[in-house]
Amino acid sequence: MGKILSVIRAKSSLECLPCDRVNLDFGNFGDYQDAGEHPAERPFEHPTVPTGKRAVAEVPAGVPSILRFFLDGSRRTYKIADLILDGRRYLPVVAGQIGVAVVERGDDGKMVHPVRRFCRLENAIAFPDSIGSEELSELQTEVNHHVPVFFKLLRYQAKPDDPSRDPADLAVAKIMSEMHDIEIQAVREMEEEQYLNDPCGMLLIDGPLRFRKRFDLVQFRNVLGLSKTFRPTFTVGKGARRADVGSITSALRFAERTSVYKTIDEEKVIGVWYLRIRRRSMMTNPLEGIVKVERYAIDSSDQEEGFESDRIDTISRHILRERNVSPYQSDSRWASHIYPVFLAETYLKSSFMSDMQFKALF
Amino acid sequence: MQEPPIGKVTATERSPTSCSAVNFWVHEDVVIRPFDIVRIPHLQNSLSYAIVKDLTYITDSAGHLANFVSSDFGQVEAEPQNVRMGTTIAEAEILYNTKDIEMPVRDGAKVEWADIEGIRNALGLGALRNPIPAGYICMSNDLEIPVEFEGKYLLGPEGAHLNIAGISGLATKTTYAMFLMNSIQQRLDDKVTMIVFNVKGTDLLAIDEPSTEPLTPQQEGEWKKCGLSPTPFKNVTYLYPFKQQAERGHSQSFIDIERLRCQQSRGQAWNYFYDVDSAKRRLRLLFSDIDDPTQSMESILGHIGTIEASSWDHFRQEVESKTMKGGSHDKGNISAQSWRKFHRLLQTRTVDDVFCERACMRPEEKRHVQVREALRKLKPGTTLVIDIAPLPSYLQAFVFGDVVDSVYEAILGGDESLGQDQLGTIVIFADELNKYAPKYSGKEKTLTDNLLEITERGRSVGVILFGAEQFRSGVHDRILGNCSTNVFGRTSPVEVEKCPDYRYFPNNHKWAVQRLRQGELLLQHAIFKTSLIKVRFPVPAYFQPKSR
Repeated sequence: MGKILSVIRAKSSLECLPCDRVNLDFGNFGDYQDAGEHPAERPFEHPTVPTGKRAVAEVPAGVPSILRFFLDGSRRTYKIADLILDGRRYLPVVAGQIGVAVVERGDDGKMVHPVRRFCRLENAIAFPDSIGSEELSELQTEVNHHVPVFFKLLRYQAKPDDPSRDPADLAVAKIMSEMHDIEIQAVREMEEEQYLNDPCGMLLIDGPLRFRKRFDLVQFRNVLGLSKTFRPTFTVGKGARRADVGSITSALRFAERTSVYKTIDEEKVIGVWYLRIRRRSMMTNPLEGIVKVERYAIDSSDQEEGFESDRIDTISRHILRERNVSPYQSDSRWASHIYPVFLAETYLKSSFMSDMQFKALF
Repeated sequence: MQEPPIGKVTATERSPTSCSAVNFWVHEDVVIRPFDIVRIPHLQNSLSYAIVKDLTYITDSAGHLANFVSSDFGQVEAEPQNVRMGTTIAEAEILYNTKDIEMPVRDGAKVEWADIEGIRNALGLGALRNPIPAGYICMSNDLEIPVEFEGKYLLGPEGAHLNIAGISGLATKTTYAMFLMNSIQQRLDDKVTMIVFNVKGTDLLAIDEPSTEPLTPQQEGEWKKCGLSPTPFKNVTYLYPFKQQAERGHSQSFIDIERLRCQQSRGQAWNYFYDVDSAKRRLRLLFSDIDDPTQSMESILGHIGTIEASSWDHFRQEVESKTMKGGSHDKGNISAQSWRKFHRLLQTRTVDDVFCERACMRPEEKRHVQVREALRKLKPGTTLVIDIAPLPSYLQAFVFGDVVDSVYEAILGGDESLGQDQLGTIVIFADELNKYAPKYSGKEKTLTDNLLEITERGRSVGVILFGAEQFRSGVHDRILGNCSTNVFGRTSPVEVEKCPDYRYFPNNHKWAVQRLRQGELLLQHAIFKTSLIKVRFPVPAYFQPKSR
């Protein structure tokens, strides 16, 4: 068994240069995943919430949770080499471990355990798209013939005319896109196997429902997206009522939610609202302890009139109850983290190869 | 059917496995405790066996504050929806590998309950030549494994002597010693003679009688688990201190008179006494607790052998005559003042009825016997119980020392009528050993010297000491050091801190020794492959008379 870079050099004419194999994931929490989303102009629930916010009461202990499944997709990316292409361009090769973990809340309502059939782990290497897809496919065959771990070779779009984008970010984005694919695949499989039929057994996905992909929306009927961070400059409302989310949410008190707003992603209608799950007095900044919740509008009535307020309240009440226990001190985003999602992430990351082991493959 | 695994080995950067240690996480439904033994598949299809030393429960909580926060920042009534991820981690000591592989066990290896044969091999019990049942291990999965001592290391010649330490009131120290001696009698009947001192109450004064309350099937089962039958001792003789009181059978013992008469009628019970000649040789022991900075006492005791006396009155008169200033009596160049002090002590310490002349009137009632005479009647397979409970402590030490010296002298050829061939290996059991061999305090006392001699050289000549005491810290270090088998009963936290022997216990063993239940002990034996084994042992099968 050989090293991947040796195989690439031996089996192709690519000028592949070694570099420090650095992890690209550190310090990336600053970017909001919802950057560039469609503005949310109008309230999207009925009856509407006149004040724009509403207090919800926590679901009493003993009432079974409607949140049964939790899905987290994670990645670990590393810059592993540089390529000189056409003797002109100097572009990075980025490798990554990506995966999806689904955990299910047990019948006792407290413990969660992984649902292995829906968990996936993949390894990928992103090359600049100036390498043809057929050639890359051939190279993938060679690589996998010589190394003990399967790698999928991807092409990222290295735009020579956009110097503002770091090519490494574009490569990482490609690997992220691949991760979204397997997230969607996991949801599809769950739906096909009748795991998501029950509105009282919903799936909560970590992160926004912004996959920028085409898929059958019906599969996401009982799926929620929950984001720990959001862009405070995102605007909601229209005209005189138009305001940044940061100003609206910072005024939320414990257990209060905002109105639902309508936004659109790749022609899919999404309802989005914010909920404060921690007491503001205990937070270090006013946006801490607030989660952003998203849900696809699937039925035509929902798409036209928005969601029923009662249903949004019910979902919010159950999310509010998820705040404890908390990964305080274990995760900088603890105040907005939901523990089952944290466990799914822990499970997934503990299934990844160690950095040292992964880098050694190259 | 093979049992499912109970956990998996976890080796981390900070807590790796090693040749001697392994950690594993435990399945949430499994109940396990320290001293349980597990089996782990290892390289080359071998199996490693490990004994659990400690258990910890860890969670992913980064700190106590995280848990405080998770209760809504300190709301006691808050009921979290989620349970924090956590698991029990067992820390175990590797005992043995079936193919002698000494490589560390690998991460992720499945951990199973160990099998009986494997456990016995792991503990070093697999190839004993002279096994002496010593109790049984009771594992958390209800598996029970008999544990034995190797005779060569308990009764010589490779190793010898046993010490039992533990607080009183749990019926553990004496009961275990008696269980072990019963075990020896059942297994090595024709090779071992036993001498037992009854130091308190009447506990050991009917050890050849079955219990009046029959053992329950469960209690009988405990004996069978050890490979023994629940029977009392056989061939027992009792020696009681003589008393001039016919209605008490001429005995000072606390035993009830009916039982005593019964034993006397069967020819099992005798009353020991000391005439002048027999006592004179051992008078050092009678005064061994007296400080003698000027060594005048020692000079007197050296000189006293020259005194010829036919009775105790005569002897005391002879001593008294040396207390007079001047005169023609031979004082051995010792001052009259020293003689006076000695005379006072002699008067007070020989006032007991055991110091008398041999009975010539109604000897069948008085049943007089000297200790040396009783020893001559012993033979392998017999047990001699000597009751010293009614005596004051200086007399207890005197009698104990006399027996020990007589036995040792006999073995070394000092008594032609008594030899090792006749007695076989001799086990002497003494409770409250701290009285006879206290911790070294600058100068050894006569009795301590003799016990040191036995523990240091006794194994080669077949004189074995089984000692028991409440606190090991109170017993002479060299005596403890010479015991190749040590038994630890429940003790106090103060003793654990005070006694150097406990300082080398791992923390969980220190914890365990303070919480042992009745009938549980920690054993340390030369051939065990681990420092301590926790065992249970059966309740006595002999009658234990109730004393006030």
